Amino acid sequence: MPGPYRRPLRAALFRRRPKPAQQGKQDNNKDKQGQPGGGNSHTAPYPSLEEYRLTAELKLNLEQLQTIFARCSDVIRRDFYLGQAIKVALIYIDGLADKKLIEDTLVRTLQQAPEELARSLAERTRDLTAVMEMVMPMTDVAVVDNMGSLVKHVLNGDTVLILNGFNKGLALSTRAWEHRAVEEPITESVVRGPRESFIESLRTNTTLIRRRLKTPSLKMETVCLGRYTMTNIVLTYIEDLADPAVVREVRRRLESIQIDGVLESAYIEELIEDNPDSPFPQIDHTERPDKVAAALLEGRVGILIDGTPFALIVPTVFVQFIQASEDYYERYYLSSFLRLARFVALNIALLLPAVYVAVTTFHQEMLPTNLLVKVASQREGIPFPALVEALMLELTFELLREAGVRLPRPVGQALSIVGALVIGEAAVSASLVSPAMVIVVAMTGISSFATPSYSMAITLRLLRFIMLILAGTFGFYGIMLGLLAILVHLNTLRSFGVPYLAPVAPWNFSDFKDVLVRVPRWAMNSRPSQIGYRDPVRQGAGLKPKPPASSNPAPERGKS
Amino acid sequence: MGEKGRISLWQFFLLVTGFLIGTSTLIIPVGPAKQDAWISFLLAGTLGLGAAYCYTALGRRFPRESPLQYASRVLGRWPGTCFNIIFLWYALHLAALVLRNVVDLYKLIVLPQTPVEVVAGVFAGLAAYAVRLGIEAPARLGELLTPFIIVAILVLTALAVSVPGLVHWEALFPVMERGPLPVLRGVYPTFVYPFGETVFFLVLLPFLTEPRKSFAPFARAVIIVTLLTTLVLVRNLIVLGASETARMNYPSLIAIQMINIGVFLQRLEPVIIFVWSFTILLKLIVVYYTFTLGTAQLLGLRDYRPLVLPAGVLLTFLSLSLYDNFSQMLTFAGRVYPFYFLPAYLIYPVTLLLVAKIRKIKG
Repeated sequence: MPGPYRRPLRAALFRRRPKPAQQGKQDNNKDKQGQPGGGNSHTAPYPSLEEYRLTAELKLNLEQLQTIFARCSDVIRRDFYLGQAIKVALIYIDGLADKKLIEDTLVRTLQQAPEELARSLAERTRDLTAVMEMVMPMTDVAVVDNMGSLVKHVLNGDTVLILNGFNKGLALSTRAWEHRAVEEPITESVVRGPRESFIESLRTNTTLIRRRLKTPSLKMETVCLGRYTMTNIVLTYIEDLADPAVVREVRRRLESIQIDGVLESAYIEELIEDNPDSPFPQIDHTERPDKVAAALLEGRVGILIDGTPFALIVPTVFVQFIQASEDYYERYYLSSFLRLARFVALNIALLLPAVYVAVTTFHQEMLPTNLLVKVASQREGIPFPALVEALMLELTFELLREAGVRLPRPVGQALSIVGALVIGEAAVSASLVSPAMVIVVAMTGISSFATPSYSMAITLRLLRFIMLILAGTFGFYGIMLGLLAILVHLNTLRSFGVPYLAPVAPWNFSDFKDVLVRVPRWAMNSRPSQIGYRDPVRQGAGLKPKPPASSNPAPERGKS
Repeated sequence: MGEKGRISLWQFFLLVTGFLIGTSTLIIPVGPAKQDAWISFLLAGTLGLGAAYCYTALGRRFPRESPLQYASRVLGRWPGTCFNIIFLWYALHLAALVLRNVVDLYKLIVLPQTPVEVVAGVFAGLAAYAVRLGIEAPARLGELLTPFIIVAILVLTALAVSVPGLVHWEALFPVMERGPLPVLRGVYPTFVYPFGETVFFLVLLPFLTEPRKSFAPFARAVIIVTLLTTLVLVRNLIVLGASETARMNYPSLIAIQMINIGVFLQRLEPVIIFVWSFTILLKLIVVYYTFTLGTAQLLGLRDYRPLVLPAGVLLTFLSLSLYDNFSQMLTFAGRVYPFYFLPAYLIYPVTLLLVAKIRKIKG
């Protein structure tokens, strides 16, 4: 065993993974330059915590732990005798572990353990399994034999029991900490549909999914990321449906992350997406468990991150950003109509100010005469070109929105009143902006709120400014060029191997049932072909309900 | 040659369709056939099927190679290289012509005061971006845009026909007023342009997922475009009349401009300009890609991407110096081009096919 525990160097915490071939090269170089002590010195200045094994001497173990948890006032250590014969110690963190359970059940049961057992433990005629078999009141118990896993268990809210005379400890799952109750989703509320939302506690979130998918095929793999945050990340998928290549790829990308901390799903999103330079979001996120369950049923993979109510869904395609979970809960006519409306809104949010600027600056002849006269008379006396006017108003709108998001609610209301009055009334009556422009900007704002995905809406917000400038310099030509450039770019994107614009390009007609229209449930017979191809059949054929041939019972023959 | 993409038959079909619609609905030379131009076009489309058969026969013979690669094997090193250089020149020239088409369109109709260099440069830059991304991105772009283009053309035509008082069916009559000869004389130019230009798809055929089945989508595209363009021609004829159609720069544009339904549904020409821009972009990308990839193959380069930017600059300036004005272009397109283009669309593929057959060379 290495000597007493010391804090490792900070540099060592972030050391690169050793690459054997390159290391040899570096060593050679170092030797050539005559630097002493090259070699392995940078890889392991101190042994890692895992290399400190527990000893049979309780006192020694506790001393080590004392050093490790020095100045951690929330760590609680409690020594007592198991069955009045053998000295044991409990270590847990106040607030992370269920104190009531430990005090009422655990300590009492252990103290009142049969003396005979304690004595045989002290004489080493029985080992730890006897403790588990005979007195342990908990079910989720793991055996730890080194400081590394011991510390990890304690930090995760477990209680670790060390017995004098044994070089192993027992980690008892007592995780229970304060967290928010499951509430209604804030960003994705629905009129009809489940009202549960993920919360910051990972275990609750996995439960919410497990409760919807009661099958052993639902797999939940855990990856621990973040050197300091030790954030648990759960990779969840349905084994029979998800593409194993995608699962493998997600796992590989997650495991290759080396980072100090993961505080939100966006950290992971930015580190695993396919095209990090694209302005478009390539990974969908949601706080609705039913949406994750639906995605898993299509063969996608979910990523849940501890400490955030947002789960990631991969692979993601573009159309997911105009789909809302309520589409599947309302009648399909309405859902399809809303899809189309959202698609229009998406285009308005991107293009309307640009089109307005292009028309008023370059292509006045395009307007019907009456409309042209109206617009021209409104623009009479406006001291700015349409482009500047549009940029000004758009910017004001963005500022108002940003201020409204950050301000506390009561102040926010005042702000929106001021904003509406200043922009809507004063600016127009001072003829700084034309009323038509106010309408255009308001329409754009409303349309960008109508996009179900916030991340897609903010992408469009940014692109809108680019389109605006293009329209102000090249008119419709600029708009067309911008659109084509965006389309070409979208065509190059992939999300975990799935083309971003699927099923439109590459074309797949059967997948169109869930793009611009949502076909009725009884017609949704197959999974998306790019994602759920392993088991394409989703439901039985001929599910369309039919009423009985006649509501009146058929006359029985032969009776009169 | 640095190209690992594959395009499906469906993508190929839509790419050929977009390519053929390309400029053909924009500038349709009415030629000597006058009001019978649509008959000429139908016949030209039939010839186009023959061209498609010839090109795909070459593609079937050499399923995983482009003509730039097998030409020197078929014809011998020096003759093959000469053929290839000539072929590439036509690709460059056609790319420049296509780019010039869009520049002219914007110069004459949309942005009269913007310098042409800017319009050409920006459009070529967009095409260069797409070409750099490899064949898959343009193929998917075609998949995305071509259905929209077809629908837009059909809707616009339906609208034009449904405007009361706009349509004069009698403009189509009398059919074959001066006998069949003028009609036949109109066939050849409309065959070369656009159907002969599909020869450049020879370079794309090896990237199909199933190169041996390329004829069916090719033929389908030719048939659809023949019908669509005939429809557009007939629309222009019945809306504008034969002499007007022949005289106008952009007869389709004028025909669309005349749509006026309920005072509100009018001024629809931006739609058709968008449609043309899309199709011209598709066509430009295909020819531009052919040129860069072909050059890389001719020179034995490992990657065609370094050539994209220089080729873009080259074709931008070439496009601006091709001719001085629009009527020169019309003369060139109507009288010179069909014969000037002969080596590329006819001699090159047919010689390759025949020699390969005689010498029994296969891919």
